[in-house]
Amino acid sequence: MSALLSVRDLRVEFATSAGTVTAVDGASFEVAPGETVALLGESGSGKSVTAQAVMGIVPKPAGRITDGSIEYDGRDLLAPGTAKGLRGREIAMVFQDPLSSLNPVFRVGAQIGEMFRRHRGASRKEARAAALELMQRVGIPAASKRLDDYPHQFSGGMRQRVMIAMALALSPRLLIADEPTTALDVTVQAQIMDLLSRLQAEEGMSLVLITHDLGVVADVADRVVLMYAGRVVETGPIREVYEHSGHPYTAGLMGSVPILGGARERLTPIQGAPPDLLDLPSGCSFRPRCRYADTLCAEQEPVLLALPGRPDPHRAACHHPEGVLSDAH
Amino acid sequence: MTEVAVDVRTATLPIARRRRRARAGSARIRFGFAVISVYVVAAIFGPWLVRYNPVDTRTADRLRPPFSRLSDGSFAIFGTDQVGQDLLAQMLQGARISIAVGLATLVLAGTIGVTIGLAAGYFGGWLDGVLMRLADIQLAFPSILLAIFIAALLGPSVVNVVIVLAVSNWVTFARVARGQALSTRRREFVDASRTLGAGTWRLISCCVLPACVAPVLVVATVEIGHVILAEASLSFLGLGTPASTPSWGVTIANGRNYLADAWWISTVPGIALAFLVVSLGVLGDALRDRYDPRLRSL
Repeated sequence: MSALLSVRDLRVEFATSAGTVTAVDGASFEVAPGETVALLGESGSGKSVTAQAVMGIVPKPAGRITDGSIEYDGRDLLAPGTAKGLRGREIAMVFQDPLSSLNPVFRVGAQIGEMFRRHRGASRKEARAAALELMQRVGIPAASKRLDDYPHQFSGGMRQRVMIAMALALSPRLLIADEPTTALDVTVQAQIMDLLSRLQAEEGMSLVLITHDLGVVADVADRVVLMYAGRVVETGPIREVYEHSGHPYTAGLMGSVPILGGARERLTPIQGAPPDLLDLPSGCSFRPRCRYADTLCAEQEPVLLALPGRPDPHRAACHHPEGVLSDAH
Repeated sequence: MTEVAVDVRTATLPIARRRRRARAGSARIRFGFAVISVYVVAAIFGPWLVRYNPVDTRTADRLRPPFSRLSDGSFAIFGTDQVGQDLLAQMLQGARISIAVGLATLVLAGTIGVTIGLAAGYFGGWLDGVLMRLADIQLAFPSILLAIFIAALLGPSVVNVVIVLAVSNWVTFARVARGQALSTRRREFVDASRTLGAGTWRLISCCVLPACVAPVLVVATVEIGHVILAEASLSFLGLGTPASTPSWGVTIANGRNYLADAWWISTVPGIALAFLVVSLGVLGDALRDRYDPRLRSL
């Protein structure tokens, strides 16, 4: 199956006053048509920057894509001019904070309708009708009354629904959701995730979910791509990765999640702190926090490899996956 | 009895109305608007009621003090000038010119300034550097010198005054627009619009420009006072409007030679000018406090 989105050896650097930060360092992954991929990682792991690179909105002039390729459906997204024609029509994005990602000075109906007016040349009336239909589809109650409200008059969850409606207006084939539920209440989080997965099934589009919350994506995603310090450390089908973690970082994440109804033990946090991107350790970036680390980890950067005894799509970038696999279970 | 009635009324006042009363600078805004409205109404309708003919001379009525009756039986509330013209008629005509020049200058300077500021702030990089250095040069160059230069080149006329004043006032607008563009362009909804397919022009006109409106209006209110004053200064120096269009500056200049025995010729238009500029300043400050408290340092 050919991939819809294919990111190869992506490298994004940011020039700061303290030096050059490599936010994404050789990340590679693919998204198949109709597939839901979770891009997991903690703050600063490069997951949002990867999404920005795909959308072509890496903050300039500080940020720069220095290496690698991003292909969408066989087209080079990094070539000048390609991304502009695809944004909105083929690829759309939903942001973390739905208040700051809606234009505060326009009514939501007009903002959604704008998509049809700009891209499809719809009349004002047609655009309004289409916006109303979309708002009903994303589950905004009394949508006909709320068309003429401003973003600040909506609750957080409703704003995110508006944002999703805008992103879905032109039926894109790829939707990137950058922490779509982080700014919302827990109950609303579940509703938004349900909405996203329902719409994904209806539209048959690919969905890239960027999050730091393992629980949020567990029921929705098909595959998971785990990032740490700008690199992909583990990837594979979500159940497989959750249950048979091949990288000590993934294993650590799993150990730090409380289980409802599970034994009342202390949670096991990951020791240490996320690495300083200005001063990454040699070899494996996770080395200083890893109990399996040895001299090989300090000398050589591990690459993504199939795990011994596990099905092939499950890969991890670790020199000692056997130890991790056997210890965790 | 009255006290009780008043108490009951305030108690039942709707909350929204009570809150609006407490908002910043309400009294100052009302005062400013009231004074400016009087000036604008006088400027628009005054010259129709009190005719003014710039080439009229009535030697019999020269240098009459305020509140005197003239030879033709009319009443000169502000007195007459050195050629016997009614000062009130002259000032009403002058108000028209001063306010028209002020508004035209603001529109021109605002358009130039906001365009340059948006371009500099949104695109950044070398364009920002070039445009803002241009602004610095403009600020460092004395505007009176520039005015003399342009007046010498083009001759004094109302249009030239507007050009001179616009050239020396666009920088303030450019700075405010640039600041807003800088703070808006990295906001998430701009990125969101871009991911939904909006082009550069669209992002500037729909996301960045609306954010500039409030601060630019506030700056415009403060600036119009300066502009009217600058126009009067230029006219006083003979570089502004020609003598046939008696702006306040021209009238004040005319009275300079008679300060000792006919103080009113310079004083009355001077007071009118000062009162208008002060009111505009008060209004501008109050609007700024209410709509854009961050601009307090400007």
